[in-house]
Amino acid sequence: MDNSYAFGTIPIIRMGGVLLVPIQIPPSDSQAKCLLEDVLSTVSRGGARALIVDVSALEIIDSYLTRILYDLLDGSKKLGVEGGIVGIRPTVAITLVQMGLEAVPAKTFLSLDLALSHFEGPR
Amino acid sequence: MNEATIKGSLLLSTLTFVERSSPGGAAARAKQFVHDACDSHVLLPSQWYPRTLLDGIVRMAEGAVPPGRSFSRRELGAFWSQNLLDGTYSTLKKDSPRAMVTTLPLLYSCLFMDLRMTARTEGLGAALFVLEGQGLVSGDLESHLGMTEGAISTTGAVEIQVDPGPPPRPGTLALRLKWGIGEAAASDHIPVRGEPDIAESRERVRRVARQMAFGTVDIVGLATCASELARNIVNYAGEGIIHVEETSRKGGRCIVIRAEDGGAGIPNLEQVLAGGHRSERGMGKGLIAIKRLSDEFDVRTAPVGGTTVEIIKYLRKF
Amino acid sequence: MDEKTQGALEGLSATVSLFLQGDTDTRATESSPEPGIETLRTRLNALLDQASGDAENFHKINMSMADVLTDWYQTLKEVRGGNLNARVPAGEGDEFLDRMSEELNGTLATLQELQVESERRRIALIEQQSKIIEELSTPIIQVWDGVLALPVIGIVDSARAQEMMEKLLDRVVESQTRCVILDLTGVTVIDTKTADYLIKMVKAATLVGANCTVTGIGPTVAQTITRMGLDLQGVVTLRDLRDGLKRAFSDLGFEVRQKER
Repeated sequence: MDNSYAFGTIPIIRMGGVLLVPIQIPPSDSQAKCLLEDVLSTVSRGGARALIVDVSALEIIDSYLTRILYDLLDGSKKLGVEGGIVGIRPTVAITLVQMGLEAVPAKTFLSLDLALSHFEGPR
Repeated sequence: MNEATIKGSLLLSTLTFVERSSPGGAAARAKQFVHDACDSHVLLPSQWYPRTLLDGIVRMAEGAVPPGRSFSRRELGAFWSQNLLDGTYSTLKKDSPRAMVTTLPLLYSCLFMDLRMTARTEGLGAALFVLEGQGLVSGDLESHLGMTEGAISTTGAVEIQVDPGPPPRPGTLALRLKWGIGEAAASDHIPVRGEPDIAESRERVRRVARQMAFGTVDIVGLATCASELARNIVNYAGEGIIHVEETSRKGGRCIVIRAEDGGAGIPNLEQVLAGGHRSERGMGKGLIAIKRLSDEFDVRTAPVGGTTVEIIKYLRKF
Repeated sequence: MDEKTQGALEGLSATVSLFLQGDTDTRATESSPEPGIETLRTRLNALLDQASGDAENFHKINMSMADVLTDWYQTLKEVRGGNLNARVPAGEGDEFLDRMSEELNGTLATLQELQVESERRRIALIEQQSKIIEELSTPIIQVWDGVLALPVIGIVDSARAQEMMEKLLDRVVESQTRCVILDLTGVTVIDTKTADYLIKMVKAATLVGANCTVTGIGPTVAQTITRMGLDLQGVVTLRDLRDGLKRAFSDLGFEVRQKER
């Protein structure tokens, strides 16, 4: 696993024992498939105690994206890794609630800081 | 804090503010009245207009409104949500702040003169108000109009006139409010052939919604609908088109988004909409989401004719 | 048009009316702080002086004078009624009358400009005040570091509800406030829509990353919610603001201790 960022793909960044996945733009079908595979294989390799998905760059989250988030976070959970979501914008939050899609498979955090300190494990 | 204190303190801070910005006897008298009346049921609607409210309170203080006539929160709340053009008010507020400013004295006249008022928007840039009440039978029309016209903007941006022709019912007065209409109605047509068109649809619907001055949350909601609609076309039909239009329908000024495709149709549509049918890609969730984000929702589908989904969102809410 | 100006114009047109009815001694006496109106008043009085002073020719010019005065009266009435475009028709009487009419029109034009400007300013002030009123009636109170309280007062109409939601969430994210207390002590009667919005607000606040509790649900509201069959699952409800604050402190890791004497 490395920290490199390949253009056009969604990076998986390791920060200490935590995996961070920042989703900058809504991924295409193929990107989403790759991401899921990469994340789950990384998680299953072990060494991570949490998966944090950062959606602060997203202005729109539709049902497709909630499905992706679900796959990522629920999949990791099944592999024993807790998940968190950071950066759901106010307008996005309201829209999700209006759509009835407010059930998220992970704890939500106001900021990356808060998410990281939440998942702080024993040193 | 008890109810009266909260109400009282809110009103007092407002009155203090108004007093400072327009010194004079009225504010001071009203303030005194509120001090005395804090324990009564004088209640305020959630949005109000200091100047006119002040006038109203002063009139109450001066006894122009019969003593003992107070307004329970229920009444005011009901007044606001039923008679007070919940939707028309929002439309006016978005369309023309000047027009909105003009209606508020009208509303307060109704409140303190015991009139009922209903209103509806009439297409772009116009709204019809119908006032009704015991004091409104012939002869008093001039003075009523005088009261409301006195508060009307004279910049020419807003026009208010008595509706010609016989009144809708005896004892009513119909006024038409007209304000300047902005640019020509927006519309767009977005061909959807592949994944990149999903983002394109989002952006173009967003643009129309913004031009129509929808609020930020509604714009996000509409763009999300566009995303769902476009994705359904891509996933299930392969190809289609999304029409966006600013127009007026029975509920007033609105945006209409219509997604058409020549695909194989949606089998088990009823199940899908009820949430029972879960296709692999979650189309059910998408359609339900669209339905919840819109004011009106219609789906027509057939194995041969393809699918048409039309949603409408009004610039106001019912 | 403000009351003072209206009143002053009323006075002027009343004077003309009286004069036309035969009271040739009448003049407009009420002075106005508004320079435009004051000029009008002086002009009018001058014209009336001319008309009544010229006893010899009075009968001769009485007809055209009456016409002009009637025009003035009509115009003033229109202006008072809000039509600031109204002007006296000129070029119909003799030279003197014409000149007077032109000057009147000039004054009316200046008056119009002044009115338009003050109207604009008035509307701006009103809009500003309306905004402030709105702020006052939907207060979001920072009760402690990291704790926001939103006391809901009165009926929440749908237009305001969405604004309230947006405002609250924006504030939460902007200030990174982790605890939100939605206090319903001020709500005695609730309808479906309001309840629906309040629940949406709590869910949305949670999505954004805050801990949101609802306090102050009275017995009537509780009954209504039950009867409506609304799902309060996952929503933390506590008895009052105090309990809400306690919970928030606990969430934030604060401890409240009495000072030692």
